[in-house]
Amino acid sequence: MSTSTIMDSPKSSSHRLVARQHTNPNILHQSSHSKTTYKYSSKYQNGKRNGSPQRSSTLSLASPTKLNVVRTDWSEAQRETGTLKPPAAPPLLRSNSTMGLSKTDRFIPSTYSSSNGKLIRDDNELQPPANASPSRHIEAQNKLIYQQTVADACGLQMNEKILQFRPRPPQSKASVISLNFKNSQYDFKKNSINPLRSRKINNTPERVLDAPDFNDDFYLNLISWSSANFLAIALGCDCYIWNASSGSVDLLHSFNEPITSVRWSDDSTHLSIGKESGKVEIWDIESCERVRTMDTQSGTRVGVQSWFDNLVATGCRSGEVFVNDVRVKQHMVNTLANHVGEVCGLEYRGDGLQLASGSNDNVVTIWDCRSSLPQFTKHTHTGAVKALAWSPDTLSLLATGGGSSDQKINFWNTTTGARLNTIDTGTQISSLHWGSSDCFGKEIVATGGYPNNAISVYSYEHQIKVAEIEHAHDARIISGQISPDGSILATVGGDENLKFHKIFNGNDDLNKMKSKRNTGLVSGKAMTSKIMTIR
Amino acid sequence: MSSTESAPLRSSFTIRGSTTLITEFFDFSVNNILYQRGIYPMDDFKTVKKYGMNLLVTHDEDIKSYIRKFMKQVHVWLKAGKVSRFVLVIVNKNTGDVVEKWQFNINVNEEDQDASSLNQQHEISPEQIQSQIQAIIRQITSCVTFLPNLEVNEYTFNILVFTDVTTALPQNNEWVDSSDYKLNIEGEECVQLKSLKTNLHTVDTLVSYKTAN
Repeated sequence: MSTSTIMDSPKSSSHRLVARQHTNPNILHQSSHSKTTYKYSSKYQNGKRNGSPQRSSTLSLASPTKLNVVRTDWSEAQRETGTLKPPAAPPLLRSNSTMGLSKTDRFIPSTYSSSNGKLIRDDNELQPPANASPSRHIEAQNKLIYQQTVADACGLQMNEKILQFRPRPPQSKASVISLNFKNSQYDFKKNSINPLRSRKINNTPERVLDAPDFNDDFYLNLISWSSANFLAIALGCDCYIWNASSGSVDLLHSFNEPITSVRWSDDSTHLSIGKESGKVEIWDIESCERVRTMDTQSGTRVGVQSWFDNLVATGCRSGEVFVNDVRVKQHMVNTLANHVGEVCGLEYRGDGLQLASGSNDNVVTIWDCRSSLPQFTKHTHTGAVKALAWSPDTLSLLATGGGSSDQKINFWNTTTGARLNTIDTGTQISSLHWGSSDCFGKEIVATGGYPNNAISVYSYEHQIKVAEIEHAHDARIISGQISPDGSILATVGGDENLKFHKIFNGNDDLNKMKSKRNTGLVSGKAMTSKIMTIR
Repeated sequence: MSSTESAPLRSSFTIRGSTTLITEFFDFSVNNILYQRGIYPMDDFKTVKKYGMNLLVTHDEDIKSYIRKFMKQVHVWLKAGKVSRFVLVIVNKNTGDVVEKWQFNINVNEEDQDASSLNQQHEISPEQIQSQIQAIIRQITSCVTFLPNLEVNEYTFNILVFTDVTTALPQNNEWVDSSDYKLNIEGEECVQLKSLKTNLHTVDTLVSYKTAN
C-alpha cells in the first residue's frame, strides 16, 4: 500500500482512460491491482523475466498496432535494447503495464503530458523497461524513493506543482509622488530644526540705489530688468537705464507726463514705456531713440506690459488688454476684454501660447493666445492681482499673488485650470519670482508690504516660508525684478530706494555671467549697503 | 445538511461557502500584508469594517483589480479542491530575491466532510470562524514587530498557488507553471500563526523571513 503514493494519480487515471477505450474489464481490474501492488508486481516481474527480450504486456493488452508504433518511436529504453520488432503480444501478462501505457500513447491527447512534461521525463529516466536487469530496477526504485524522501524533506510534494500569477503587481500611482513627498518631508523635518542654517540669505542688500520721485502706486510697474542686464526704472516722468554690469546710469528720456509702466522686449533691444495718457512708446536702447508711439485709444494709463516676440500686450486702467504688434502700422491686433478693474499684472507664458492677466477686480484671467478668448477666469483672489509668475521649468504652472485684502499666493495648472496650492503670506504681494535652492528645490520669492515690508522666500513643495528679509524696505515694496541670471532680486519701495538682494544662487549656466556681474559690482562702486543716488 | 444551493453562501460547511469564506480571508490577509509590509504606500489604503474589526484594504483601482483577478482563479481552484497552498512572496524589485513569504496551507478535512453532514455538534459557528480570522489577522499585523524592515519602494510581491498536478492552466495565460520558483530564503526563519478551521478546510498560516544576519 505504501507504494501507491509513488504512483502518480495521472498515471493511473490515464491508464484507466486507455483501458476504457478498449473496454476490457480485465484491464480495469488489472490497473487497480497494479496500482496497489506496484512494488511487488514489478519486482516480481523483474525477477522473473530477467533479461528476457519479451515485450511488456501492456502492448499486447492494448491495441497492438497503435501502441506498438508509439513504443518503438518514443521509448529510449526500447532503442537501447534494440527491440524494435513488433511485439510478440503474449496475452495478459501483467507487469508494469501502467507505466508503459501512461507514457507512450500519443493518440491519447495531451492532457497528461502537456500539463506535466516534467514527470514524463522522470518516468523515462526512472523506469527501465521490464526486460532490464533487476539491479537497474532496484536502482530505479531506490531513486524514486530517494526523490520522494528529498522532496518530503524540502517540504515539496511530488504530485504538486506551483503556479504563479504572471501579471506583475501594479505600481502604486501614489507611490512615486507620495514617496518623493515623504522623502522631502523628511528632509524638511531635518532642515526645519535649523532652517536658517540650511537656507540662508543675506539680509543686507548687495547694493542700494536712491530712487527719488518714485511713484508709490501699487498698480504700476515701473522697473524692468532686461536679459542684457540693464535695469530700466521710471522716476516720475523720467526713465533711467542702470547698467547692472558696469553700474553706470543713463537718463533715457524725460517725458512730459508720468510714466506708468516700463518693460523690456524679450531680446532686450527695445524698451516699451507706457504713459498716463494711454500711449505706449517703443525705444531702441542702442540708439536711445524713440522707434514708434502706439496709441491704445483707451485714453487710460497703461499700468502693465508684457512682451512676446513682436507682440506687446498692454494692460489699461479701463480693464482692457491690448495686444500690439510693433512691426505693423495697425499695431492693435487684439483687444482682450474680460476685466472690469485696472489691469496691473500681465505676463506671457514662455512659449507665448498663454497670457495671464491680473486686475484690480481681483480676477485672474488666463488667455489662450491663439483664440484670444479667456481660457480660465479665476475669482479666487480677494485682492488686486499684480504679481504673476510663470514657472520657468514647468510650462503650465502659474503663481499669482493677491493684494492687501487677499495676501495669498495661488498656484495654478493653466492647462487644466486647477488650483494646485495656496500660501497665505500675511501681506500684500507686489511681485513673485521663481527660483531654486539646493536644500528646498523650487522656491518662489514674494515681495510684500505692511507690516514687515519683507522679501519672503517660500518653498513650492513644502508650502512654507523658508527664508525672509524683514524690513527690506522702510515702506511697502511696489515692484520686484529678478536679475537675468535669476540670483538677485531688485526691489523698489515706497521709501524711494532701489535695493538689490541676493536671493538665489542663480542658474548654473549663467554662473559665469553672475560672477562677471559681481565683479562688475565690486569693481564699480563696490561698497555694499552704501546709498548712492542715481541723479 | 442542506444542499449547496440552498445553503447560505457563507456557511462554512458547504464547499461553496467554505471556499468563499477562505477566499475572502485570503483577500483581506493579502491586503493586510501589503499594507503592513509597506509594499504600497499608506495612501493607497482605506479602513473598512470586517470580521468585527477595522481592516485596511486598498482603494487603488489597479491594485484592487489585480488582487480580484488572481483571487477569482484561486477561488475556482479552491472550490475544485486543487489548492494545497497559497503563497504571497515578497520579492526585491531589483534582485528578484525572495525576502519573505506568507504561506497559507490548505487542508481539506476529509473525514469532516461526511461527519458534518450528519453531526451538527461538530459544526463550527460563524462566530467561531470570525474570531479565528480575527486572531490570524491580528497576528499578521503584529508580525511587523519582528519581521525585518523593508525599504519603501524596493519590494514587490508575487502570488504562488500550489496545486495538484492535474490542474489545468487557465487559457488567459495569466498563470504559469513555475515549479522551479526559488522559494528558499537564505537563513530563513519561520513563524507559524494560528489556524483557521472551517467545517471543510483547515488553513495554516506561516510566515518565513530572512533573518538579520
